[in-house]
Amino acid sequence: MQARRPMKLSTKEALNGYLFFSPGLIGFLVFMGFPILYSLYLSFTSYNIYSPPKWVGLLNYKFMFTQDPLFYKSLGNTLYYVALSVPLNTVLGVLVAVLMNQKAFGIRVFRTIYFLPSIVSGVAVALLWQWILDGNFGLINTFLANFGIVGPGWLTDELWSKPSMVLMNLWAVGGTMIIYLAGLQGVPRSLYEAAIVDGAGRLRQFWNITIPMLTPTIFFNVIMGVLGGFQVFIQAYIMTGGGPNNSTMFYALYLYNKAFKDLQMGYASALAWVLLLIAMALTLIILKTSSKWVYYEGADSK
Amino acid sequence: MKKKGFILMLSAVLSLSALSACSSKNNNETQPASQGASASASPSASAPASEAPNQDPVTISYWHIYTDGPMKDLTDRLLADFQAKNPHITVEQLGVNFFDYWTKLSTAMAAGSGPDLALNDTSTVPSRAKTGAILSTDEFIARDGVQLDDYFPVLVDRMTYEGKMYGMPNDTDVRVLYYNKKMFADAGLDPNTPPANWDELEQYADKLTKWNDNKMLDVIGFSPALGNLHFWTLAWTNGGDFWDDEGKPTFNTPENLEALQWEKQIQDKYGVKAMSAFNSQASALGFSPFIAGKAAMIVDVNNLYNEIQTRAPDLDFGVAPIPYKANPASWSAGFSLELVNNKDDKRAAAAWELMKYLTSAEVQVQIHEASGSLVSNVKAATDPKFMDDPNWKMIVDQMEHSRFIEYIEAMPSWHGNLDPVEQAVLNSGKDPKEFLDGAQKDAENAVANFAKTQ
Repeated sequence: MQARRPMKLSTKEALNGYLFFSPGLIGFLVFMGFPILYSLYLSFTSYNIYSPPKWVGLLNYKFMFTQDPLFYKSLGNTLYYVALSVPLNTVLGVLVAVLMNQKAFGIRVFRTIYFLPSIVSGVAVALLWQWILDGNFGLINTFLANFGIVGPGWLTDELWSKPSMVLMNLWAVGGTMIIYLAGLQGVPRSLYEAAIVDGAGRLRQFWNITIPMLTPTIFFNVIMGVLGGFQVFIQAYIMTGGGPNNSTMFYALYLYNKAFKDLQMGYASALAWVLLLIAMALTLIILKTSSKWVYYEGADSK
Repeated sequence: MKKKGFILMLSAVLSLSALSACSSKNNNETQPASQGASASASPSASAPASEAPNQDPVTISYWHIYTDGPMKDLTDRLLADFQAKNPHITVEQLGVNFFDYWTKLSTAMAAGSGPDLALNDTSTVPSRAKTGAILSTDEFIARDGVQLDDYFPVLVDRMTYEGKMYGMPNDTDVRVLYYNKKMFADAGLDPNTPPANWDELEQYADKLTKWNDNKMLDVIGFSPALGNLHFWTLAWTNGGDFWDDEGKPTFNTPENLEALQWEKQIQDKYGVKAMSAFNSQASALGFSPFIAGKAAMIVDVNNLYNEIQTRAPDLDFGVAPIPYKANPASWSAGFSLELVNNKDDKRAAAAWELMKYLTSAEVQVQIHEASGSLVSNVKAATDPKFMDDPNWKMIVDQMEHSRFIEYIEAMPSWHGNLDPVEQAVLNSGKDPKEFLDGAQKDAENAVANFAKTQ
């Protein structure tokens, strides 16, 4: 009787690797991969959750791009939000991180304080800010009244509703600040010392050493910020429900309304896929342009 | 080496089976005692009720939105009382907070793991009746001699689809005009004659509005932007309609446009700037400007009546029908109790017993006492101990003129599209005709598009 040829070592190792990996892989396929592909299928159907999906082909997409003004409005609102919140968050995050990087007494307490808002749950944040932003009872307008300024209706005014949400998001800058802080601690001191020897002032050190060395972290946070910005939902859902005259009708909220209020799951799936493609396109653009401004230490300099 | 591979395989299989156990746990909870009884799973959506009520032990599940407060305590008491009266029925209840309830319920029903008795939205009963997601209760009603005349006619009408009744109405609401009697007296108006039509409403509002030195509003006489009026309610009082008999949208008829223009006319007295400053104060959390004495007249839901009794019991106020131009009207929305089609006749029959219990006059009286809500059982709502209060009597009387929003399959939340139009006109001073025409066009597109998907 001929004995079975034993497996090659590389095959055996690969098999072991796949076995270890299989729960994660199967979990991904079942809970993420399959639903994502199913929603692609649903986007070509009309599905109202109580009856089986009915195939309609490209009708959802056609309607979306030609006859749905709210699609463009919600997309515009979301892009506005992203365009405003990502740069502000980056600038503020870097500045606060530099501030928290000082060797002052009790700096750890300050770091914690700045970080705490980012871990409070979304609903609690929304309710808290609904009170702060709220006219004569709210903190902001009461404060402004001391200087004789009549504050606008932050959440009830079409023009101010989106900036108010951006402001709310800035309050949670601690989350990105922590990452910038880690990045700052990784900047080699030798660079600063060399700069000081060359006679560079604080501002020039910041601009020519700190920022370039931070660019990988900034790059990461910009992408995360853009992706997160596209998904803005909780604030609009809880506080304004789409806001005065649809000014805070963000894309994710519009999708949710279409899916669960209008029971048009097929159309909502189509919306979701369009969002995915837009987000991917934007991320690719950022990636491609990253080589121009992101500096990786150790890599061949440009 | 073989043993190591075997252990790896075993751990992978174990973790996979742990994953699969998560989804089926829900089903196991609600099906322990009824596995053998579902042999007669009929494809039609009505529950056969020919035989006498079964006394075999059965477990049903009941989902609702009462997660805290007096309604939660009452629900617990009622379910205990029900189970004592019906020892063979065990009820498992689940309360989900209002924000999450709708998504949770609809996805559970779609997955077939929904409850047996569910609280749901009266306005959208046709969507579930049409697809067979809920069961008709006609045969139960006939068998047990339940009198549908005991319930507000408009509610029974809304829950009837193709001549059959689908579930029972649980509770509802209605909008009325609240007015501050003291402010009326101070302004020289008769506190016992509230405005009855639009012109009187405007005149009274002019007399009651107070400006302060900074050109800001101290007290608003009346604003359509405050409270819970909503554009369609006002349009209905002008004889306007948003849908015709064939299901085509009629958003921009002259009557509707007139209503919107009247709202703008009132709002223009205050101006966008002063109004938005007032609004940012008015939209404070759960505190109506009427209670705060900042608005002399306001159209709001009957719940405001309970809030006034809790927060400002000394407030001297009255309740009146919404001032109308052509015919009296109000808007109602409500909750229904429905039998979810889980293809199990025993559980449906037991769930019907619970539905009958919860909508009976004695229980509905208790519900009103706990939550102050406008219950659907007329006998309970007009119980003498409540009707002594003339304000409550006025609220109940409005149900005679009240309407629900029409159920349109193409646009179930069509009224949600009208709120931004109203906000654009009132808060941002935009042109009513332009925006109303835009809403009409969107509605036509939605209806046409929906027709293509059928």
